[in-house]
Amino acid sequence: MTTPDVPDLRALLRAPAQVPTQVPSAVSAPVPADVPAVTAPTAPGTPAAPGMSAAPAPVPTASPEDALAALPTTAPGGFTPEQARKDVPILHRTVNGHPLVWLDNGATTQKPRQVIEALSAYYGAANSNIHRGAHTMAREATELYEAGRTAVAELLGAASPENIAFVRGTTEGINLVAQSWGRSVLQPGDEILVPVLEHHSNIVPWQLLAKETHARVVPVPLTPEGEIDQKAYADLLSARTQLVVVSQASNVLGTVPPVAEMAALAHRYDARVLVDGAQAVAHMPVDVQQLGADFYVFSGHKLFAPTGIGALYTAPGMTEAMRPWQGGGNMIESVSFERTTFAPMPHLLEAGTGHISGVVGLLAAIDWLRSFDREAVAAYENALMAYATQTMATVPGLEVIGSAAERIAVLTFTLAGHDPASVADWLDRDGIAVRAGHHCAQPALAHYGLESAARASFALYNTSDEVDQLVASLRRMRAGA
Amino acid sequence: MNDRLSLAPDAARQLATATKTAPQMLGTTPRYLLRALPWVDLKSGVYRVNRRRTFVLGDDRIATHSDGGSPRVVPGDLRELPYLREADESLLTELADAFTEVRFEPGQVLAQEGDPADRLWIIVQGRAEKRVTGRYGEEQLIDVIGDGQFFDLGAWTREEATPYRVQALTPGLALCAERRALAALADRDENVCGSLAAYASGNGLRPGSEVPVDLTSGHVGEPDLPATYVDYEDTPREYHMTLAQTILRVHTRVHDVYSGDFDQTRQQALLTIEALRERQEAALLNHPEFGLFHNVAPGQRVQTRTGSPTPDDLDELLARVWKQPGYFLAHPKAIAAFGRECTRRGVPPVTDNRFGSPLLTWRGVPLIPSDKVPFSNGVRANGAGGSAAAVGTTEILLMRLGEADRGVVGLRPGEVSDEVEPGLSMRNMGTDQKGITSYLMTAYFNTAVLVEDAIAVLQNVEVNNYHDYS
Repeated sequence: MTTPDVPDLRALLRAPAQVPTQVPSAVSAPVPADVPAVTAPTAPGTPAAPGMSAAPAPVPTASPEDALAALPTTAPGGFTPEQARKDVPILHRTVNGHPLVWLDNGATTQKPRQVIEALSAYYGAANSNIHRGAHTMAREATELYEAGRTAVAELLGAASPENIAFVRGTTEGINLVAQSWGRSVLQPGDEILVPVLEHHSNIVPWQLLAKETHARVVPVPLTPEGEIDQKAYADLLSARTQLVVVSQASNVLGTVPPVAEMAALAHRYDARVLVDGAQAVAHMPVDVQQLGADFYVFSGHKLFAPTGIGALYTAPGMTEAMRPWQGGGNMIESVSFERTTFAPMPHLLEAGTGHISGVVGLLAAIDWLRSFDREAVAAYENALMAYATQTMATVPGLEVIGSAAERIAVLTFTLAGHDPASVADWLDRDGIAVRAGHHCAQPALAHYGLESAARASFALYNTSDEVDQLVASLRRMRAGA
Repeated sequence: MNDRLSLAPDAARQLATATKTAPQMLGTTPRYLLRALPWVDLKSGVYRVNRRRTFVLGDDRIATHSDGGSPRVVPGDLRELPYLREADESLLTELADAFTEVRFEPGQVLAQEGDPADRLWIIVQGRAEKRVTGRYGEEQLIDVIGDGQFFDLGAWTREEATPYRVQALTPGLALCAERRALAALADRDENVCGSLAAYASGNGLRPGSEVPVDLTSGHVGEPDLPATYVDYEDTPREYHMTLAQTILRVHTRVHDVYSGDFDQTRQQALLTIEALRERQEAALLNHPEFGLFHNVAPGQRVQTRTGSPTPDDLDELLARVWKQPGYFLAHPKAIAAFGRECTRRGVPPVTDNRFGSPLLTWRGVPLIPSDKVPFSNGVRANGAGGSAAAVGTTEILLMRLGEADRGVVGLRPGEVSDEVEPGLSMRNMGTDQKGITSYLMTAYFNTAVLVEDAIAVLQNVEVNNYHDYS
């Protein structure tokens, strides 16, 4: 895969190159293990953020000493959370008089300066429609758009950019597969296996499709730990199974199921596999070919890119069964009232003018993410998760839901005597943003007999100090302060 | 002349479509066995079960056949007697001829504890129990024996006293041989004499037990330590893939023209797959070579005490597969009969949800039903046909599952070309002169019992006893 001309275009947009961000990484690599806890409280004060008057949140007094010893360490080789924080302006504002602690990354991530500037630069210097009009601006915009496609293909380990179609987000990607592939393939009596763990956007489109085609949506149960019951899954597969859908990481429990094994088994039943990467893609390196995914979808806004842009990966063999989804410009080869021929994939799925600036932002976000060592990011998030799990366990009455062996940095919890909405409200007063509600995964919560819960979801720019602030605030709430 | 006021349904039907079901199939069962078995994907076609060397063999049963109405011992099967394992066929025939027929009635004492064991008994038909007098004079039941079993080999061979009392439970038929027939045999043949002497002075090694690994423990000082090695079986059992196969024919015209809503070929294939899988489950249970019912080791077969499957009988089975028992497997009628015995005793078994259905459990071990469990010695009831016939006696299986626990595993190929399900291929054989497309549909499978104590069976289970609870 090549990316011709891309560096020039990026220079045109004056998008910040990766070079500066890599320099501090080399410098800060040998920083001692406890640095994040020491430096993080001062970080919000350093930029000239307005209204920055409140004192930092008090350090929790009852933090267990051994848990402190397990503080996330600065991973060697090209990543520190400070480095990432430095790039994200919003993390330096205050909320309700406190420095913002953004722990709602499962809902959306905050955007680095590089992405924000790329959008502005695109509209300031390079705006044009793509694939149309033989002028320099159109050509450049097209090249930029296709560079974004190539970057996504590289991010996902796809064989070719032709396997990537741009969509609005994960939800649109799933609906596209349901309408384009599902409606042409599913027959009455066919089965779609959907784990109970799934997000509503990975349940409802299949219910709608099943209703239309008289196929059946078969739920795959969870174990008490919150993992997909693999024995039940193997049992439910049959020659009638046409599709297995699975999230690479759950938005509620953080569970990371063995997708590659599940896909391999599904393929033995000649079933297709759709992987929802919305939560996973920002947290772990992805290789769709190694996963064995036939479809892979993700949203850009959970990957530090703007909202309204996402991508759908379609495995090379799947294109024959895909029929046009939306008709319009860009998806055709020729149109007449006698006969209309369609453009090849992926343009077949991209009717109308795409979200070009979104793709530019996504490209900048991928560049930003790729400037870090992805393995180091994953290791850091795991360490942060381990630290958060330990310290949150010290809050009386707090119960973390799910205990899967493999999980991303998502902690969904309940606090005895307080409903989740009031917990989120309380934390918000301390400038801590967590989500409360059903997290668009009511079946998964129902598995635990719950209707709603609070959720803290972490990203690479979160620090152990923010975990401490969260725990301290929860303790104060618990103490009735 | 039409006197209707509105359009008739029959006429309206001409404009309407129908909502159709996929083709349904009565023969489809839940196939719990296939679902419960852990499947091993084989990279090559053969599964070799390597084991420690054991003292073998036989099935602990001596077969008989009916010769003009009177039972006769099958001479070759006398090799069940360990010291006759190498004996000539002629010698065995001679010994077989020495057996005489004995009929017995319920309650009749066949052998008395302490009497000289001058006769070897082979039960041809019927059931008897072995009892001993306990240390404090109380009666103790040690075993229930049934068809094909014999007693008491050790005492008979060594000319000792019978160590227990045997009392018939049912009317029946047995074959008996005097000790002097064996003595005559030993006098004639040196080899038999030698192996007989070796058996008589036997060091107590049980058939089926493993060659010991010499160890020492708890010693003090500096004794010479035993040297040892763990021997393997010279010819480990190998399991080859067996198969269930058929050719599915679909006319191209049918597929091309009538595939609206339902793809005709796919629906045909799905139903054929169902049939192949049903056959597969039947073969896994009943195949004479590898079927689970034919791979139960001696000592792992339990006779019912009273005929009906009682909680005590299932406990007895659990004692045989006490290491991590996984599932009981029985005919639905046998499970119902067990339920009745429990109801009668006021111990309703707990039900547990497995595979999305409520299943009866006993001591926490689920009883999974399968209509492929055979009935034997049954007289077909009048007009009986299909699966409702449940006459005669059946068997209840108990097994431990999984390669890791040395249990029962299912075998299937790791990869087959044109695979539509694991181990099941659907290969297009082309279209013939008549325009009929043929598909070769093959299911490859097998099952293996990794060690003998992974499986036990309760035999002679009667399912037609009903109780009056009032």
